[in-house]
Amino acid sequence: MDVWEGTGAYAEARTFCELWGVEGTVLVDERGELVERLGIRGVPTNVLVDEDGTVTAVGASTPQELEAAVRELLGPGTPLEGAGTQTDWHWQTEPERIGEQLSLRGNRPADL
Amino acid sequence: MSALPDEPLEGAPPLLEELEPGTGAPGDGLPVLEGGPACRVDLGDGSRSYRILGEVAVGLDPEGVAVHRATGMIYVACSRSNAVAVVDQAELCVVQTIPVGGEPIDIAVDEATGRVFTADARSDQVSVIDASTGDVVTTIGVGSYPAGLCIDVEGRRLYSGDAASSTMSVIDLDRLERVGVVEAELGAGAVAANPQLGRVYCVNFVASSVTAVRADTLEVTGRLSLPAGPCALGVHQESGDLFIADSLASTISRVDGERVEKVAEMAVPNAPVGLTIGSRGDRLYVGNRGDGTVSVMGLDGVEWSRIPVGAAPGGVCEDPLHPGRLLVANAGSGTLTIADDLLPGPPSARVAPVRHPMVGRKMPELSLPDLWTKELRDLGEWAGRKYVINVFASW
Repeated sequence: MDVWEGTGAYAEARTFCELWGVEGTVLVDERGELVERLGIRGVPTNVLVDEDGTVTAVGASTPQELEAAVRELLGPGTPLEGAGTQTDWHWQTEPERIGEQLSLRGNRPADL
Repeated sequence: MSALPDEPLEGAPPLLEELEPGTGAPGDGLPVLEGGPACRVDLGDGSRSYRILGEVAVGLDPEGVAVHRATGMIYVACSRSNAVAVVDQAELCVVQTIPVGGEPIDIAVDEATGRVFTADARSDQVSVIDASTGDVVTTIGVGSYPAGLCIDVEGRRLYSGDAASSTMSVIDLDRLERVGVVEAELGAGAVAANPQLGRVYCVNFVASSVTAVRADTLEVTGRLSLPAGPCALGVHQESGDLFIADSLASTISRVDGERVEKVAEMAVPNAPVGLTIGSRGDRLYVGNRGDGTVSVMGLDGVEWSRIPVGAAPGGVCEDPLHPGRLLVANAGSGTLTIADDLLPGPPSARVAPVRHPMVGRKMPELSLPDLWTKELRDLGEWAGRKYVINVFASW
């Protein structure tokens, strides 16, 4: 869920998702309605919700924290690919492409 | 456990007692005003480790913040407004908005000339502002996507970390010309100088590394891998060590500045994006973008206190006119928080972990548009399933 863009929310969020390889459903909370109701004060933040709609965790921003929170949400015995260690952290997009995309981003108007 | 801060310097803006007090704790929903007088004020009760002096609306996605010591004015780079907001500390309001290039991310003040510099990421340039008039007097071309600045006052140089070109630009502060380019790595951004050691350091966000450079020859003298997403750093004057905020790993790396070797790695609350070393030399101030706070930390990594600020804070700066006074740019809320750190030293009690108030409560019902189709999606669509919402912003 994309929040707090300030201006050009859709264009900014699309560029961001393409740049960093974000896939799946993306909602746009342009006016910050949901984050305000959830009491979220920063990004990135993960909100974990169980099957009856109860929030089980808020935060969990590092891969390790997210893995632990997801394991708890899913319950014992559920297979889950490990998030690795902090030194294993990797970009979804090839670094060379990130550089190219940043260059393009730099040369286009901010209000697209 | 707490004490009043040092007396302000002569000519400095008024202290809190001259402002109208608020009624509640910081972050309690008191309104943030557009300009005007003090807006969110917390007098404290004498036992707090901090107090909030105000929160001022400055513009869209404020990132960098700096103080012009001669005037006490605060300069805030509002990246999505393509402008710099000038904040009067005494009045707690924006007194001027200065248009600059596209997406100014970082900002620095040269006290010797009264010039203010912004790194305009989307214009591949540095804007130069005459603080006495508020006019942009010139622009200087640098590498692609400049995202960090620092000034070496004695060496009369400005350094710019250019993220997309993987370079660090070197600018002559008096001639206002680019006089050198150093190969850094992808995501080059925040830069810091240590004139005593004759070194300049550039952290590389995408490469997750720091590059060390000799200031006189511009020769790269060292490189160190870091935890993911380093994006802010400071030089501890006494030890020469670097403290680097690793935003994606939620750690602070302490690095020996001469040998460029890691000394320690310390955990912080959530996505540290801003960092400055306190003028007393015994603490760090870390802007936690992930949870809307600034951590006051000892150099050993122990968190002394956690100050609630605006949403998604980034740049953190200590006011040179008021030791312990913090100026925090909040990218999410578009505000500048001014707060005093009241701790004289390490507290006897540690910061207690806080459970988020939403845990255990039901998700609110809401419909939001889909990024790709713009069709409204109801959160009820995911009812009966376990799911994770990742909340992010493109900046």
